[in-house]
Amino acid sequence: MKPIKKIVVVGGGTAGWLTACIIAARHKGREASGFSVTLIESANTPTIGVGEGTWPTMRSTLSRIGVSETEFFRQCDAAFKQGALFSRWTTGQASDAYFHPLMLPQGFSHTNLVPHWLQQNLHKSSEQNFCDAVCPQGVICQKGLAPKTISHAEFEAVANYAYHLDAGKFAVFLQQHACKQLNVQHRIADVTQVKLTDSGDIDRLVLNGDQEIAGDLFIDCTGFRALLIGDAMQVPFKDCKDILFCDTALAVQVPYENEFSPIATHTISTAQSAGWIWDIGLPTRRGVGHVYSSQHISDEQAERELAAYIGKDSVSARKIKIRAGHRETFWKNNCVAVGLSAGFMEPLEASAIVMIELSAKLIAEQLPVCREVMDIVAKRFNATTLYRWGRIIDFLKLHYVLTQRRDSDFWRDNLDPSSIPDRLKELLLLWSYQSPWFHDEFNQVEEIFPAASYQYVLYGMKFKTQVEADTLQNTAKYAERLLRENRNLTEKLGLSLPYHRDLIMKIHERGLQTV
Amino acid sequence: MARFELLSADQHQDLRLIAQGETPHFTSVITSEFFEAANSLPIMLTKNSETGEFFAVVILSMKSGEPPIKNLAQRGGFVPLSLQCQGFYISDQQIAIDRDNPRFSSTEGEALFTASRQPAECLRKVQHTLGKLHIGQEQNQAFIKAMTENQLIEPVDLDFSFEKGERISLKGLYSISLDSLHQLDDAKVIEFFRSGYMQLAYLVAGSLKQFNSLAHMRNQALLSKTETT
Ligand SMILES: Cc1cc2nc3c(=O)[nH]c(=O)nc-3n(C[C@H](O)[C@H](O)[C@H](O)COP(=O)(O)OP(=O)(O)OC[C@H]3O[C@@H](n4cnc5c(N)ncnc54)[C@H](O)[C@@H]3O)c2cc1C
Repeated sequence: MKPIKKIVVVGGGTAGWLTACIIAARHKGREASGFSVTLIESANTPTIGVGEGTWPTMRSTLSRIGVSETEFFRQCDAAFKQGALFSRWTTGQASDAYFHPLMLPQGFSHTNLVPHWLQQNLHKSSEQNFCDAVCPQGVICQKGLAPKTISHAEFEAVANYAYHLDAGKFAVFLQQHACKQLNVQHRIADVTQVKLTDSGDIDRLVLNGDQEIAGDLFIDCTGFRALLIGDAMQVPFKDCKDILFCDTALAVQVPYENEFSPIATHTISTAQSAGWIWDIGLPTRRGVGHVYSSQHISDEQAERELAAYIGKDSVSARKIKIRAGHRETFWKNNCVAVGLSAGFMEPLEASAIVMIELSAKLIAEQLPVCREVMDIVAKRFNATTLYRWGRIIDFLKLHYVLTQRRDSDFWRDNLDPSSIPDRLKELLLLWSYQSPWFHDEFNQVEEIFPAASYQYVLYGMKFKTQVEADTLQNTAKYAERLLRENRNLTEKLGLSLPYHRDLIMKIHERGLQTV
Repeated sequence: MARFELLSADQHQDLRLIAQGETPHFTSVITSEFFEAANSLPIMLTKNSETGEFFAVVILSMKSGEPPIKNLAQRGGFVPLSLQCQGFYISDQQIAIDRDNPRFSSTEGEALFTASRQPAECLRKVQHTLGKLHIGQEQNQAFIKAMTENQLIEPVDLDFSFEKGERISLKGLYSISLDSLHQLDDAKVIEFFRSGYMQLAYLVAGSLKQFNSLAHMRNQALLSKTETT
């Protein structure tokens, strides 16, 4: 039996440090028997340095690896994220916007409110939007309120939340935690060569041309470089630019007017002529970027749109090429890829970091005891991960197929049936007769986007699902109650939650309690 | 609503103080009161809603708006210092009062100032108690800091069922975890023993049992009320 004890992570970006922390925390206490996690990062290849929107999974991840949420807020320039506002995605008009919040619709686990809401709106002249009808978070976001108060403990929430954070500071923060608290070994060196065994496993890495490091499991977190999974293991990349067209990003940082300017507590995503602009509010600055299809507009045009969004004549933005797609497999022999090396799709729903968390958690929990069983674990990991990438593609594409915009080739091309995955086509047909709810369609544990997310996007974008009135009778009363309770809760939270910036300032000053 | 004024002989020459104010649902206590308090009332920790910081309180009734469950005799004569100073505050080294507190009257109670505009006996007592509270606050903070830093504070769920199906659950209350206390390393145990924190921690944890007697007494009161009606 060849035990798996020496874990080598290559890459010190968000993926590398998160993965190292998650594995080290999960296997804490095994050091005495020779278990170790080593992270190698190059001083010459910078990290990507973007990626500032997360999912609520980050709360449990941070708590599980044992960091203090207070310190995280102080050191990572973090803010609360309670969802995303999608502006101009449906009709392209200035007034066109909907929320995709992080809270589930009221009573989600027992009742599907969608048909009830649809039915009610049939008979009303002015319709109440789906999000506000079923959950309070859209209103909380619009008012700029925090999802909790200073007397809620770390990681505890009134309204579900994730974070916006400074990616550079986050990597440093994780590094300190990993090295000081979790005994992760840190080596700064370039991996210059990968040596394989006869069976095709990675035997050792050559560092800086002369030193070597051996290991039992190698985790490729080298970003777009994909040094191990791509170069050494020769796993092909599966492109999906025929489905998702965006291939370039322009990123800038925008200062606030003053230190008291409100901080948005949701990501703002505003559709453009051939892509969209993200706008993420941190306490000290905003991070803004234009993600677009270079097939459809020139870089200059993209820059002009970004400048117009910020309200300037011109911008000097950092340009990042992105390649939509993922590896055909993610775990081959004793090498597994996590982060950009595994795949990337436009950051429309902040799916990259959550994929890192889920992958690292799966590796940590299923960590093969010995080489003899690693291929079995790898097979299962690959199946789950492939399923997840598939769902990300579907969900991102959903935003593009529901649009009513026809004002540019980009939007028109997105509706080309050949660009829509079959599974999504089928679901859209299904959903025109019955709305998605978690029982029917979503049975995978740790589904990246729960059925609630589909509901918010579908009905935020005015998707029409037929309703058979007589099927609603059973649950009509209960649904009425849920909708009423939601109105009460919305009002109550609107009055009791503090302003977002105020709470962050208080956290910096006083800290949150751990209980 | 509160109406705060700095206390001055000029302005409050004719103001009188009623010995006992309304007894609240809970009131703050300082560590030097823990011994006496724990004999009759639960000592709990709760969070300041402005700062999120913990402070210590004794619970006097099960619900706000209800009279205290135990009378003075049943509390062994214990009157928390904070109740003795009800209506008085310290603001920048000066004493301030909340004019809207019903303890203040122009007709009833004892005068705050003498004819020669000197603090009267009752005001002197309050001044003295405010001083004690002020010093006590610092000791409280140090104690709570020690408890927080060593992760000894835990939230407690308090659900009570009363006559006629009435249910009361008290939210936002914390106590000291005996389990965590028992896991402290030896050096900490000695340190806490020497500083007196160990006793204080046990007093807090042990006083949780006083809820039983509060709940029992409230139930008895409800029962006797039903019998008479
Ligand atoms: C424009 C844009 C916006 C994004 N927005 C979001 C978002 O809002 N939400 C979200 O979840 N994600 C977002 N992402 C994705 C997110 O940025 C990444 O998933 C995340 O940063 C992880 O990157 P990484 O660690 O895999 O790679 P990187 O940050 O690129 O790190 C690669 C590491 O590998 C090391 N390395 C490379 N070669 C070698 C070598 N030979 N030897 C040793 N070390 C080596 C480098 O030094 C570096 O430390 C966005 C991405 C882009 C491009």
